Amino acid sequence: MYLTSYAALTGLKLGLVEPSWTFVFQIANTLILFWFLKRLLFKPVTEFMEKRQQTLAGSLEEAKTKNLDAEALLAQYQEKLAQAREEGQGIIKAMEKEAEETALKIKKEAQAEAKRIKDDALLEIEREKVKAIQSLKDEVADMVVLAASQVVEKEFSADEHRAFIEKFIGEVGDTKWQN
Amino acid sequence: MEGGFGPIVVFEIFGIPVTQTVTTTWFIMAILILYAYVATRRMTTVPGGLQNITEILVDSINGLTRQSMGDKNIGFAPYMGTLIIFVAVANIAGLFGLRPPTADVNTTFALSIMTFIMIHFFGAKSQGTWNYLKGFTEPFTLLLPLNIMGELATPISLAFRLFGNIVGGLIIVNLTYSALGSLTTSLLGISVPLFQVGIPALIHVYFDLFAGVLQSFIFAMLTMVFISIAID
Repeated sequence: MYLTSYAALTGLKLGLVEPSWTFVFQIANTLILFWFLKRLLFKPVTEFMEKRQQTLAGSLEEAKTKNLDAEALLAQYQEKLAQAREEGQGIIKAMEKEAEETALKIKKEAQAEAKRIKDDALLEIEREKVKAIQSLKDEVADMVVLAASQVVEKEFSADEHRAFIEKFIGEVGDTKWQN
Repeated sequence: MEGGFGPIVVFEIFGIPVTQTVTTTWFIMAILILYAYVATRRMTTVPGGLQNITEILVDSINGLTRQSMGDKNIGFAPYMGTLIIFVAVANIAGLFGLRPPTADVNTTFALSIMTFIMIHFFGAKSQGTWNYLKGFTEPFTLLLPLNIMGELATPISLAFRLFGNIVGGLIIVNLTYSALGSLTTSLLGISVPLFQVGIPALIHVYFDLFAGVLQSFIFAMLTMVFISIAID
């Protein structure tokens, strides 16, 4: 109907439900719009979002792995630290024990040494005493003999001489010289 | 509205009339292509502003397609998205004083015929042509004419559902404007249609925005369901 008179068509109002060339135009328009929107909108945005999702998932996975690694490392270090502390304590204890033993040994040795020195000294003293007593006795005897001989030269009787020496020796005996 | 509510022929190319429907569609296409171009420049990992909206839009269309057609048919998402976006914007065009392209049977039939072709093309492709054709004789051969009529009813109901909703809204909005204009004249006695200010807003919100978005969703949803039924 409208193909018959060209110029008259412009400005004409078509019927509300009237098939026309618009049908063909709209199919073409829809296909063109689809082509553009697919290339300009849906494809790039979808790809972009998928890429971001993958990146995020990757980052999260990486972070998780790193966290686990860090935790494992921390546990390892803590274990090592505890081990080192234990070892240190062990060393200190061993050292203390050793020092104690050494001190004890030194003390014992010192005591033994002191005892030995003391014993030696006592022995020496005893010997010296005996020697001194002996020399005193000898000297006293000499003096006595001398004194006696002098006395004898003047007024010394045999009986008096005898009794005097005996009495003298007896008195000198043991105890008196030890003091 | 003199001479009914049909689309006006804007100009002719070699005797082929180009109506308001087509020019408005071109305008919508230009806006959508420009939007798609601008929105996808310099996309950043942390989205902001326009990219945020675009991502939500694309993501929900992908989700909707995945939900109603399954993961293996996610390739239909760009077409379904185009359908939803184009039909929704076309339906809303009334808000901006344009004649909605979807208020034209030629547009709605163009879309529904494409859906019809897709249903049978992908049905035959996935099941094998012979198996697919044999499906029309089930449950028994006697039902063949009924099955064919059922299949032919699909694009017709799709096209007229969308067309009816939008053209109905268009007519009601137009009648309301006329009524408010006459009311101003008869009540106040002035030729300035004062009552047309503000009052039709509610009608616009319902018929253009609500019904428009809803119908675009229904059209795309049915297309997805029909295609996935044919594929299975």
